[in-house]
Amino acid sequence: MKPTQDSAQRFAMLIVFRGIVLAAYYAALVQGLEVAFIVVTFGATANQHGVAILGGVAGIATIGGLGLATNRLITRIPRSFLQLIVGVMLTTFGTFWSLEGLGVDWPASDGTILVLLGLYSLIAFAYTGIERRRRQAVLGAIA
Amino acid sequence: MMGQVGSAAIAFGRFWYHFIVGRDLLLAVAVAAGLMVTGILLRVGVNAFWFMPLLVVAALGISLRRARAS
Repeated sequence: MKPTQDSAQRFAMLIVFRGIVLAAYYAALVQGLEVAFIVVTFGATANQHGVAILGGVAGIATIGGLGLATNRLITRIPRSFLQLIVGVMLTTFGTFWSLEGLGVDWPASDGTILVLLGLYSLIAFAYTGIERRRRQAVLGAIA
Repeated sequence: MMGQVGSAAIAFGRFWYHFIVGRDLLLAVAVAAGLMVTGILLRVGVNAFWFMPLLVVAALGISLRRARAS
């Protein structure tokens, strides 16, 4: 291999490695910030920051431990599916807690979380099905 | 030096934009508007727990349609 090719390959590998590190750092930063927001919000609402911080740390340790233990299994799950599940969960809890903060009186109290989770899951899978069928129809028309 | 500060400020702004708004501005605007409408309905005595979930379903459909069209 010529020295210039070798240098170019090393440079490309460095760029890819830098991208992976940055992506991992960014993801950890965003998730960490979300945890901090949740801990501060819950702590301030209940006026118990100590318990909220303890809960946050315990949550990070539990999820981190589970992630390490099931690392191989999790990497087999498609990223888009994981994003869908996380999106549905965040939308469910986001809807519930934001409206709870505004003073909404939920018909089933905390049980409404399960109703919202069911509704958003149903809608997400329905939209996914519609998009998949539409895509297949377009591909069929091209072929 | 000023250039570094400027690019750091832009990166900082981009991070918060991505964190709060995300990929579709329409969804962020819809959520903000939905919270405002729910707040107003609550003030006039309507327990509008149903408004936000319906808005989320509708806004997601519109967002998907826009994403497909672009």
